[in-house]
Amino acid sequence: MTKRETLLEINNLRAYAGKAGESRSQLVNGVNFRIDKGEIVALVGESGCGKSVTALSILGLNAASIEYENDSEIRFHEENLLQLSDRKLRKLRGNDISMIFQDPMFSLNPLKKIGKQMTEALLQHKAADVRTARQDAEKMIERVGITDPKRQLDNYPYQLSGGMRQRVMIAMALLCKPELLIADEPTTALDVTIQAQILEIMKDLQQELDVSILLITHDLGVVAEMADRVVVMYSGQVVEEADVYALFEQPLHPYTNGLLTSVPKLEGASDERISAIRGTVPSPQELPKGCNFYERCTHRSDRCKEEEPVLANHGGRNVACWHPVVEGANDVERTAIRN
Amino acid sequence: MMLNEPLLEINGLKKYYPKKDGFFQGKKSWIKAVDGMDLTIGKGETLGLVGESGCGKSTTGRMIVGLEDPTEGTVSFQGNNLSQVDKRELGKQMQMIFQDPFSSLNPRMKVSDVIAEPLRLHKVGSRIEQQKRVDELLERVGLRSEHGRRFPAEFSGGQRQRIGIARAIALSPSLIVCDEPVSALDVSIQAQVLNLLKDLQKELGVSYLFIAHGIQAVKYISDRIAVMYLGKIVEVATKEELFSRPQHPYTESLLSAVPRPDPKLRGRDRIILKGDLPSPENPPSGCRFHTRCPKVMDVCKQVEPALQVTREGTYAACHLVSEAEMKQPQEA
Ligand SMILES: Nc1ncnc2c1ncn2[C@@H]1O[C@H](COP(=O)(O)OP(=O)(O)OP(=O)(O)O)[C@@H](O)[C@H]1O
Ligand SMILES: Nc1ncnc2c1ncn2[C@@H]1O[C@H](COP(=O)(O)OP(=O)(O)OP(=O)(O)O)[C@@H](O)[C@H]1O
Ligand code: SF4
Ligand code: SF4
Ligand SMILES: [Mg+2]
Ligand SMILES: [Mg+2]
Repeated sequence: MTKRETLLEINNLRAYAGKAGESRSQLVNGVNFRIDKGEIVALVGESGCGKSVTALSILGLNAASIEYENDSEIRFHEENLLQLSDRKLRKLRGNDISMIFQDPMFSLNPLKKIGKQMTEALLQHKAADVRTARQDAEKMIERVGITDPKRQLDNYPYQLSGGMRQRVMIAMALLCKPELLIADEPTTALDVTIQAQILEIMKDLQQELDVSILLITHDLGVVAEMADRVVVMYSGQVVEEADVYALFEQPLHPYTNGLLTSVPKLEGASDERISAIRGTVPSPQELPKGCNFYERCTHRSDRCKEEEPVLANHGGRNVACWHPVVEGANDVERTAIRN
Repeated sequence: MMLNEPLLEINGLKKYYPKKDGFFQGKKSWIKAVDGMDLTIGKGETLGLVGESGCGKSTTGRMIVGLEDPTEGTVSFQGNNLSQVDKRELGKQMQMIFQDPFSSLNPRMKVSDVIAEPLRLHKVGSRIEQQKRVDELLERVGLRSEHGRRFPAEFSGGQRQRIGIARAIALSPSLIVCDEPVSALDVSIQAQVLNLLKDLQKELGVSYLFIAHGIQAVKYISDRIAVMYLGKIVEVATKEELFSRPQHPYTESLLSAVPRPDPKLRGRDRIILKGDLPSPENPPSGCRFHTRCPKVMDVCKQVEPALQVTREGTYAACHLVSEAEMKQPQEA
């Protein structure tokens, strides 16, 4: 594969709820990853692991009560987005980087007609006249599979079905041809036949516009259908990062491995038990000293309890684990062996 | 079919809700949430019920446990028509588990009281025996007896669902309607809860109606699966049949739309449906799927296909299926 140009780079992102010095909880704990030009990167992990906080930090949209470590960096075109002024961030949003939010109510203004919202965005960033803006909006809305675009532009968001609204959000997000689209669970609330439609549209548009996508999801099926590269998070940290084919072929982190075996298979017999991951995610207030996954891990050793693993190269792949999974030894319980 | 003795039978079941501002040309108009359903659930069997949002799955579930009365049709349980059975007695035999573990438990009740509630309601055992049973149940669903002293808010989603399950099995019912019991949970926790439900079934011989739109989970847990579309059943088959040889075009596209957790399967032939799900307020004429069906024929727009046997134990409602059956040329 040819090396692509890096578009965005997150370096050592640490985010806290609450002020320094006070009792604050760490929501994101040293996240590193990059997104290349034209690439789809999937960010996966269980509820509460910090996916949305990470994504929102790119656009400076986290709650004001969330603070970042001073040396945290989000590099985009030679600038650190975490240090950017509000004015510059506003210019960036919707233009260079746009976002589809987990909560659709964030994305669309309920009081404005769809067409008005779209033309306003175009006029703000792309300085066209009203007529061309309207035409561009119409084209885009047709492109996402909405029939009768002229009429739909005159509708308010509440007049659309869930699937249509999601399509309008995609159209809005791609309207100004951004370099990066952040899509936070863009299809989670949708039915599976509508989800398939929308993912297909996203993929087509991504290729057409050569936009990079940060796709946040907890659906491993969606990851496998869409992503080039996958970043797996657990408890505020990146635990594994890999090419999508490599990851599904052989996950290295016991958590990733557990996630993959937790999904019941569609093909073949399905009478055997699913191998679930035991236990639950620790809360951000009570993270253990060593590995955050220790309590649930079947590969753990005493070292894991004491020393926190860091993301490191393991045979050309990145994983944060003292005992990465190797083929054929997936269910060895190390503690049992060592004790 | 390997269907055991039937435990529950549904015949011609309908539920119409009045539309809010529902007068159309002076006539009251209706949301046809469930519009004529026939189903059987066997003893110890799990019947999966799948279909898209708003197709009537929860309404069906609520009518089965008697939380709602049908507009038309009957539900009979162990041979007795529900409308003639004492509702209290019914509560002993049938329970329900809900999708949202966050709102289905009373936040002001301690977990032990939540679980003991059905025991108290039905006056089963002494106070001490009830407490013992609660401890047993907590343990059985993978919690500890000291968890009983806490409140639901102190538990994670998966743990709350376990509490809901403990309450549901407290009276050893013969049928549990599980309405999207794992949809709100993370994958790793989903697997835990699915395994628990399966183990409990082996142990207690309870039947499940398992409602979900997550098709993987339905496949894992079900013996047979019924597929719904806009208030109607379009196909019923054993899970092996349904996944290997789907008969109805809707089932086919539903299965094809499921994103598969294997990147090597990308680029496979998929059926991507066009258009939106029609509203149950105003379902399409003829076959309700005709506005989205890739195989639509002229007849489909006018004539509604009936649910009929295609093979032993497999039912489908599609003109193509009846045609193949009768080997008649297509009528234009
Ligand atoms: N404004 C905030 N103040 C305090 N804590 C917060 C805030 N926003 C998020 N959190 C906490 O930060 C952690 C990470 O949250 P985040 O929303 O990033 O999770 P997520 O991975 O997106 O989960 P989900 O899959 O449920 O969307 C959670 O424990 C959450 O409760
Ligand atoms: N109490 C009610 N009053 C009016 N309409 C209702 C009522 N309950 C359900 N409906 C309508 O009936 C239809 C079927 O709803 P139901 O909740 O049974 O669907 P479902 O298949 O469970 O959907 P979901 O997957 O979203 O849970 C929907 O159009 C819904 O809006
Ligand atoms: S570091 Fe140890 S406990 Fe953590 S995931 Fe790896 S093996 Fe498991
Ligand atoms: S009856 Fe016609 S429209 Fe309906 S599913 Fe069959 S082929 Fe499609
Ligand atoms: Mg989130
Ligand atoms: Mg429902």
